[in-house]
Amino acid sequence: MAELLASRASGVTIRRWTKPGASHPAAMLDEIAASVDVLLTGSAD
Amino acid sequence: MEARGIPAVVLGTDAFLSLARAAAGKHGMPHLSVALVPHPIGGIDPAVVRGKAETIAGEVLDALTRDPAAPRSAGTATATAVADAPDDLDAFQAWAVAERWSDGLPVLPPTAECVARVLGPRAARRGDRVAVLAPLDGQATLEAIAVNAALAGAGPEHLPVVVAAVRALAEPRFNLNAIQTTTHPCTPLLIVNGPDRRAAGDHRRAQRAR
Repeated sequence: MAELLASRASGVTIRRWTKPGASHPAAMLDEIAASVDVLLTGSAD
Repeated sequence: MEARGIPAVVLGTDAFLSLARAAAGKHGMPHLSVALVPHPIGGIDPAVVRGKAETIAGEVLDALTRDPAAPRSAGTATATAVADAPDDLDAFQAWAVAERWSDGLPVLPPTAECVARVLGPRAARRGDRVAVLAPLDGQATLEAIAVNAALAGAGPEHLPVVVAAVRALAEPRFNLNAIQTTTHPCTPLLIVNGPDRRAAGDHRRAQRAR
């Protein structure tokens, strides 16, 4: 999805974060908040 | 992230819609954008996954570029509610199944008298919170636990074991949230031993005597 959106705009950088497991809390929220303009988050299998 | 002012969209498959809505509501973000594709996206050709993503790319872009709604505080239920239920046991069973208070196993009406009997000497502390249960931060008060115990046919002798079990469920190490929200078919198994087992009734002996 990020790649699809990036293809429609210029100057987009995609960064990815992954939790150690779906049931683990995200410990990197501050880092993400300081790094991004928009966020996509996903959960599925 | 949405609450921090960063536009966010939750991506998932349609199997996770109820979970996404429940989690968003719990965190005071019922308006959070959720974009879904048909389940699954795991174990299929990446080209098919990309095709699914393309069907919602416009929706995601719209959600990321419109003004977000303001967060609101999350609310949680703190008191039990009283409902009018059928007196007839068969009708009550059908009603409980329809209300999703039973998964088909027999249940009994948790009347005010029955709940008071299950609570016994703990009735004065019925509002005490025993635990907060995932995923929606359900307030497991002594009264709420007694209502559920009465519904399942438990008596006052069982309540200490049930209360201990609820406390164990809420232990962070147990990670109830993961069990409650996964699409995999798992459920807690409770094994009771020690003096409280005898106080609650030794079902092994009861079965042996039959």
